Amino acid sequence: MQARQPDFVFPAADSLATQEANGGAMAWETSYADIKSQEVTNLLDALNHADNNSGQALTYGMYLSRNKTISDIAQDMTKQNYALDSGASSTYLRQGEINEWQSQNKLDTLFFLQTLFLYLCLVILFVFLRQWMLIPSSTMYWFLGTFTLVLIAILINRAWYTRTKRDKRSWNRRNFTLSDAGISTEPTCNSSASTTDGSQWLYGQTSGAANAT
Amino acid sequence: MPALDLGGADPCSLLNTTDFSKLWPSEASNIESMYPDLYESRGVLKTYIAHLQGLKLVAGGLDKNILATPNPASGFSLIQFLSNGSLAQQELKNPVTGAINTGIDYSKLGNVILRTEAEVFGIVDSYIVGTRALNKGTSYTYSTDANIKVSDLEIWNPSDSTSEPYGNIVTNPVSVLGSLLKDGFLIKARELFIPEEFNPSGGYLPTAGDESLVYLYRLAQKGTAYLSPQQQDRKSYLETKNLRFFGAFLAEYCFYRKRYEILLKQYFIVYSKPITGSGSYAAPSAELKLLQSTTTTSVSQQDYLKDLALELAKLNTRLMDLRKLLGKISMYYNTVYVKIQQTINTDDAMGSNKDLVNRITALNESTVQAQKYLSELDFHQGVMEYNSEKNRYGNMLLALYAFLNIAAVAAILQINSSQ
Repeated sequence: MQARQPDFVFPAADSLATQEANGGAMAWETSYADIKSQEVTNLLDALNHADNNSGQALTYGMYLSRNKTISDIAQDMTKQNYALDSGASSTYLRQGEINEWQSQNKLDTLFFLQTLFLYLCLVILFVFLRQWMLIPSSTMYWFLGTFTLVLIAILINRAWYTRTKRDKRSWNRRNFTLSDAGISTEPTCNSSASTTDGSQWLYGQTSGAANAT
Repeated sequence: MPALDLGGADPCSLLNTTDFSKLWPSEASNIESMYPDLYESRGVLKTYIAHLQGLKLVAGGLDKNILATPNPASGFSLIQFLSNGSLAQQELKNPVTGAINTGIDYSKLGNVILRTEAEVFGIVDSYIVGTRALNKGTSYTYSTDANIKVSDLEIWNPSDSTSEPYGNIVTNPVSVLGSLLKDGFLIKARELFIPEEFNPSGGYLPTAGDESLVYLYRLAQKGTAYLSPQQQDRKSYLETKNLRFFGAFLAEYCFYRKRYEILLKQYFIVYSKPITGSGSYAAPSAELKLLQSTTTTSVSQQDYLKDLALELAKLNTRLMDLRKLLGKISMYYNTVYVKIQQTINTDDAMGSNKDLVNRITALNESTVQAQKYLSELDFHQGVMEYNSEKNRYGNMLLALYAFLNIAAVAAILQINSSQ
């Protein structure tokens, strides 16, 4: 038979019990109970640990799953929030601008009608003054002619301003063109210009003037 | 809920030693009277599966309670499970037919042990000694030097998994744990959790019969009607897999532990006998099959102790390897949960804390935008309505002044014509 090394073949009894059981006056029941107790503890530890870890794996899986569910809900709600912007607000905004423009345009027309009414009242007044011989016909025609010119000037001015200068979107805003600001919209430098940063296009007139000097 | 009570009774003492007295014999048993139940032949232990097969041959032999005193209300999951409580007693209601499947009664030994319809298995007998994994054969006795009989890699070899920690088990695993996982006696990592479900590109749907427990729980959270009867069965099957294994493990572990205790007690009794005088050592009266020596009539105290020690060593090797298996099982699941934990805490994957924070931050931002939009919407609508009112008022004034102008023109014409 092979020579045995007790610590490998019989660790429990060798390392603990045999030492305690040495001699005749031993209490082997104590050693036996100790070995059994250690064995129970080892088993319980190992079994609970294995069961606990498999449970933990499931728990963490569920945790990840729960996180994903919340994450998906958050993503859906985010999409719904962005989907709220259906364009209705822009429509209302534009319609409001159109209404405002129309309203102001009507007020401008009303201003002209009021001026016209005033003019007509003055015509009536001067016709009566002439009838009552308080002023001569020439004076009346002179005044009426002046008033008519003023009236036509007002009409032309309002129409011209609205047609050419007024912003098409905001009534109270005037459109400024590049030429209003003294800036040319056409390139004024020739192809041999030394600048390469494009500033000659924007400041063509100025740089043109500078080149001339 | 822990599996067993750490400060409580010896788990082996919970087993039904009355009905299964040969499987788990009492330490008080007389070794000389019960040796035929312990040994097949000289030095050859009667195996665990031989006992189970013997019980299987007897009608209802395995249909007895595994626990001496079942307690379905126990606070310990394994005791509860083996008492047919909690998970074991799930009623699976078919959502279509309404039929109730009361499930398997896990309080019976026959439903807990590792088995198929035809065969019963033991971890030691089938997976270490037998051909299901290591095929150690008769060489599996005890170690006489520092070379242990079953190495760590033989208990669990990471190459048995196609990729750690979520890989499938390879077709021909080389370790005990790999074989147990492949045979379906323990829940695989992919049966717990499939990472593809959390792939940001999405689109992953598990095939029928391949769903993970986490996936099934997610479905179940919506209501049991979302689970098909097959999915309910699978959920119950997966939930009970490990507890069933731990029950089977306990039965087998206690099989060796009880024998170990009997032999250890015998060892101490023989050891404590004086050589001469009152109560001195006397050779065993019967032929003890645990003895290596064929000379049984005059076996010396020293030889008897030596043979007892060798038998204890064999049993101790089995007990230690079984506990080592538990350690590897623990490590296997530990790898899984640490990986999931890492995914939750540090990765950008869907479901991670970082992903959740990002999504909630995006939600908050979108909520601010939505609130701003809604208030702007109200404001713009109000402005539009206000301007409409202004237009109506402007129209009235225009009409008035048009009328006044016409009246004025009429007045002028009237005055001119009256001259």
